[in-house]
Amino acid sequence: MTTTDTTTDLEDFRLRVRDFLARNAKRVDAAGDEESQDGETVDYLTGARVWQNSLFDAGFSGLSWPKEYGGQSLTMHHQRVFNEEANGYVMPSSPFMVTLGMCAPTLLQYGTEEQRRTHVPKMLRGDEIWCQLFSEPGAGSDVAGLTTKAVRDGDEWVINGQKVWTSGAHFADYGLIVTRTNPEVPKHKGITMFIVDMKSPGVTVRPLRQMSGGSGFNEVFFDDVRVPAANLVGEIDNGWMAAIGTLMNERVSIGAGGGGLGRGTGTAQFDRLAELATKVGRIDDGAARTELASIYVEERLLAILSERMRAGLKAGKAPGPEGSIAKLSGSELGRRVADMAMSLLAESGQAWTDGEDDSLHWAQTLLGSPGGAIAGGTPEIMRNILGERSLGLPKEPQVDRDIPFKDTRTN
Amino acid sequence: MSDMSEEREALRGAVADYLDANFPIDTVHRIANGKESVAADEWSKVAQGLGLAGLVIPEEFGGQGAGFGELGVVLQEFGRTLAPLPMLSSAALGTLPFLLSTDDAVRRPYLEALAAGSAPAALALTEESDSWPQAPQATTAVQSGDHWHVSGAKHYVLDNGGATFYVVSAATAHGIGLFVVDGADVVRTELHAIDLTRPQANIAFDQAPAVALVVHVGDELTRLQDLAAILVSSEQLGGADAVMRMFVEYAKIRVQFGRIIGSFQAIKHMCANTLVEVEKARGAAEDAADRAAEGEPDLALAASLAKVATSEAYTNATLTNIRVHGGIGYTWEHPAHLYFRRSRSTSALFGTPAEHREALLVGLGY
Repeated sequence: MTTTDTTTDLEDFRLRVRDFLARNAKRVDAAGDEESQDGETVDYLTGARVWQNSLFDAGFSGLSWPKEYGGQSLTMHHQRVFNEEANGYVMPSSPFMVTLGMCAPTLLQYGTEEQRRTHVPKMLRGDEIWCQLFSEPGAGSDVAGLTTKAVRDGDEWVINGQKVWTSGAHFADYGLIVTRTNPEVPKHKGITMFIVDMKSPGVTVRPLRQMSGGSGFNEVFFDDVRVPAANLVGEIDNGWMAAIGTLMNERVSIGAGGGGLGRGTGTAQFDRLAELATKVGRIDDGAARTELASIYVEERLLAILSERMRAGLKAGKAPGPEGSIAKLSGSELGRRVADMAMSLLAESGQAWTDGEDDSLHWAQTLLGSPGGAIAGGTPEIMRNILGERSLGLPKEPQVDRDIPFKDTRTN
Repeated sequence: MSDMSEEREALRGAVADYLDANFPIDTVHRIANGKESVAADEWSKVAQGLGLAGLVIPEEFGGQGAGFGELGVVLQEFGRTLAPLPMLSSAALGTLPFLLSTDDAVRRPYLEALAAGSAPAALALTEESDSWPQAPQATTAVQSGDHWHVSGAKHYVLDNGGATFYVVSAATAHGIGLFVVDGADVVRTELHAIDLTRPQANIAFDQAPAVALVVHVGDELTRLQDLAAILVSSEQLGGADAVMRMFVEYAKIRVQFGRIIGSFQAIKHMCANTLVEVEKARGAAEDAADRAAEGEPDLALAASLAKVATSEAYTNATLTNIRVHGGIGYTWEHPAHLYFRRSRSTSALFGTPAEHREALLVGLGY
């Protein structure tokens, strides 16, 4: 450890965090199941904004982010201390995950100075919520196959098309959208990214109900939506680079609670499962112990990995394909946790009466777990990314890479 | 922080240069086959040249005064190359008990000899290997006047073919202590080991003269074993990483069905799965080594986590290595089996993944 963060400095910081949390945050046990809500309610959203406001005003938002954009310019050691102290408290931060985990880092990396100064501090304070408009009905794993069009008209661009799987579009103030601006060139070379005001005329948001019953995602329709040219992020027709940046941040975010948001020291799932195993009398069962310990191991490995990724980000490295490791491991862990809980609960996991909160909680976890593997990129796409970008293995032969987009086969 | 990681990378580079020049895998393979041997003075030359024998020994005893973070980096390199030198057995495991001792008068001559590379030591704790952590069951130490004598036997000792000193745990009338026994006073039985690149032995001793290093070791015995598991994990991590590089390189040049095989998703995804496991294991092993370096009082959870993660990443990687190589991968001449063997051996030593899982739950209060 070097000179910048002395032990005293960190200890002072720890005491400040502890004091702040004690006075402003709710303990997990006292708070019920709030954090597991899928489609955020108005009350939850309001509460989350109030929380994020207070976090920002007390100087605990964006700990490792640059001061000039509203952050604190502190170290990963501070983030680690915050996370340790936050363990056991409810962090109503899910409405800001896309904003802080994906959109803000993209603006920091590819946005104009004005875009950064205008939006990032408001994002950190919870005053602006953003969404990410990437996936389309015809462009899932192959996002670069998108067909939502943007056409220039004087000082504006006119957007037409449809996005889908857009988390939080129903309460977002702004969105980052990727559009087709040139169909005459190969697919990766004619894509442009814009900031779009979600209150613009022509934007229609429709909630999409998932298999879990929740409605955190949306379909978003764009009918002649006009966007000022100053909302361009990065370069015209070169938006794929920025999109990749956002997607890498997304994987970090989904897999490891990245961005400016805190996350506990990483054994919350294990703690709850161990408690369940004790309650149902299986804590001494050899098979249950093996799986329980494996879940602890995976959860801790993921926590260490995300801490190291955040340290890398702080050191100025753009998130690499390592985010895919977190994404893959996080969704695999989610599946194992749900499976183990269902095994422990047996019959009482599949039907219950009012007030059987364990059953309800784990049923929600179970029904959310398949989606966790798909959202943000399937495990197979993650493995391709790791194989190709991290390990340098050659791609499968590609039939659509070097021909104009308009000549490729689409859905 | 960056200074520290730069220093570590410089150390890694120096050690890698030495190992690549002197112990390329073909040479290691010939040594394992008994067709070549390591020069008798190689270890003392390394001790003087690179300062590896006394890497973590304080400077006042002739060592380098480095920490467990640096030791972890060096062990990764030895794990990568399988170099048959007593880096793990003496400079890491054999040295640990002397670092726990606070009795300078007793430990000084040993530490100075260890640092010079002239008298390798070995750590001998295991008796009947059925639980983790282990406590001596049948080995006893008896004091008469100023002298101690130990009797008993230790198993699965990594001693590089014969150590000058063995540090054994033994029960006394008052608890458990750590004692130094001269290599000349033990009966050594070389074992048939699945790992062809590292000798292992059982040792037996009957009323052998012993020096009391730590008369009453208490909780430090657990710490000693946690540190041992952490150090073995570092070595395993280096092996896992090396094996991954080996098969990824092969997947980039081998052609079947008119294509580089690494372009097939079936192969690519096997490679990616290994990367996932290795990077997570790297986090756990380096986190544990850093905690050890910072002197964290209780290392049990970090040690068990690291040992589970690196053991499984390594064993799985060595299997994938053979599969990606196909037919050549399971021949005697190909080095893949040397790593496969090392991974299985080190998984079993210092606590199996299953034992460490159980230790984790117990440590967490379940």
